[in-house]
Amino acid sequence: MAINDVDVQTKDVVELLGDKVKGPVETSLDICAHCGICADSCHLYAGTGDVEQIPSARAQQLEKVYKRYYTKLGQIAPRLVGAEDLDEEVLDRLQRIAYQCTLCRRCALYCPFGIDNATMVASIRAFLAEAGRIPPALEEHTNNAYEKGNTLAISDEQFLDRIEWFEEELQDAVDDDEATIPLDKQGARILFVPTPIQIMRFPSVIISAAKIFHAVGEDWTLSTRRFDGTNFALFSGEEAKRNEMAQRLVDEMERLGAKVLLLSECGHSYWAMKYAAEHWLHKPLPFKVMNIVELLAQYISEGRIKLDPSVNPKTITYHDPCNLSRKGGLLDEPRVCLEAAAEDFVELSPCREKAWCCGGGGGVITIPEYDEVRLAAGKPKAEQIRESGAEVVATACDNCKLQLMELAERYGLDVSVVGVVDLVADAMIPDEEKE
Amino acid sequence: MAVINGCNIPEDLYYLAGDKLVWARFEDDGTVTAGVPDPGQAVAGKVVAVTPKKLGRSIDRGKSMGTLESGKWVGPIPAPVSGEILAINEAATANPSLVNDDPYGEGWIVKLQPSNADEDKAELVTGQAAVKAFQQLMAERDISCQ
Repeated sequence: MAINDVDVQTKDVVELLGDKVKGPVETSLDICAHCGICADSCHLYAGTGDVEQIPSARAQQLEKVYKRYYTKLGQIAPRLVGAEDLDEEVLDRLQRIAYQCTLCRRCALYCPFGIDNATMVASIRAFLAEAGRIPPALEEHTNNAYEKGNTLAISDEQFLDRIEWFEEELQDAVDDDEATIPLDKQGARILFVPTPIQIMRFPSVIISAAKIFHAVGEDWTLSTRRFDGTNFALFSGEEAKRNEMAQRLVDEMERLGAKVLLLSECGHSYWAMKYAAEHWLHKPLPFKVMNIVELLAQYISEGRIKLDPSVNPKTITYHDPCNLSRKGGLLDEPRVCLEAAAEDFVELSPCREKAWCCGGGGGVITIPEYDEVRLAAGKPKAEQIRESGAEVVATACDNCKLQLMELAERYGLDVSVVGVVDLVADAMIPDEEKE
Repeated sequence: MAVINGCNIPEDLYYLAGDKLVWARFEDDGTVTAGVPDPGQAVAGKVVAVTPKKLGRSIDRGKSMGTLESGKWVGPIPAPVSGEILAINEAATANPSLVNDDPYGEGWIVKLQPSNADEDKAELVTGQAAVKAFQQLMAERDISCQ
């Protein structure tokens, strides 16, 4: 079937498909031999046993519809080459496989051809987004951020109210009534951008970071305009919104004149600004992008903070968030933090760049209809945590934390889930006690 | 006792005005027992941790006398009066669901020795005024205990 032969509505969708697939993704589709070596690397397949979740099966599904409209054989003899029409059923299947995948890129490490299935899946998402097929909850999350400035639609008043409380907690923690959480400080070295869920549910991340900044005398600020480092349009596949959200952070850095954009315990926000924003915005960023874990490792290595690991005596392991480790290259930094902050740090096996994805990334945690698949996909992670004997799982990503908490409940793991920043802050030796 | 959207609002207790959800009971011995009212625990959802400030700690009215943590929210429990923390409810810290199950009874959070009881009491709402304030707040924020 040539494009001109399909009905008007389908034609638009087919053209969108062509726009997103032509180029590198098309090349990957050509190269993929469907050998299936990627199967065992995928947590979704390992956890669910569903062959639809094998990375090469995702590629094959995309290839089937692509060649139906964009190859001669697919147009003339679709059954002969296994091409499929882009109908509602196929669109539903594409939506499922694209938005259940967490874009973790573990399969890319095992593909003999080095095919990056996540790029392929991102192109399916981009196509589905333009075709109006974003899962509603993910779309709502993204729209909140785009229209109201943050994913949880926290008002300015609520934000300031929370900051007032964080400041009280900080003053308590450091026993200094003058300790502050700076807001919109012009010329601060660091603009620290947390996430809405840290503001509402994991506030200890911000309070702990403030405590550490206070100890080292860091020149930092929060922004009242941009307190959401996340970029859920990256997950929904809405490229224009994704770029706009990245640009907003760039604009805020410029407004405040900060030198370092410091992202918090959030994997994708770091990856987005560190590695992708320059490509999205077609310009180099005039500032440095760091993750909080990276900065803490620097403080520890430079001796700017001293830690007492006996404060954290339990057996602690680390879950590598895919966006920080495999995709972000922050492999040693969290370990520098945990080896200094914990008495008994043990590794999961495998870990670092080969770490299993927890199953909570890629925006899937916002989509209730995929909850069961998400929790099944977390089984490999749950099992390796159990095998580690850890009592505490540390990580540096909100979505991973949420998923790990649910996995602990689902798989009966007797573990608590904490952030690296909290462990470091708890173990910090006050100035007066330092040798 | 008034009931709004399934939430109990005892008229004999005192409450901070506005959206800082806390109740206070002025005891005969001059102390004040404080906790989270029914609408507050309903907003928070299942409480998983209660962490009062340390014994002996002085708190200003409206400032945090402890932290409440549920599956979806972590936040301060504001002190209804200024004063010193005399006692904390160990039963609630050990079993945080008491805050959900019995917010005005076994789920109390702290006892305070008020430093300025009369003046603070005058700033709190009670009786029908409290019921009206809760009606308005619960309507605005769509709060229900049902």
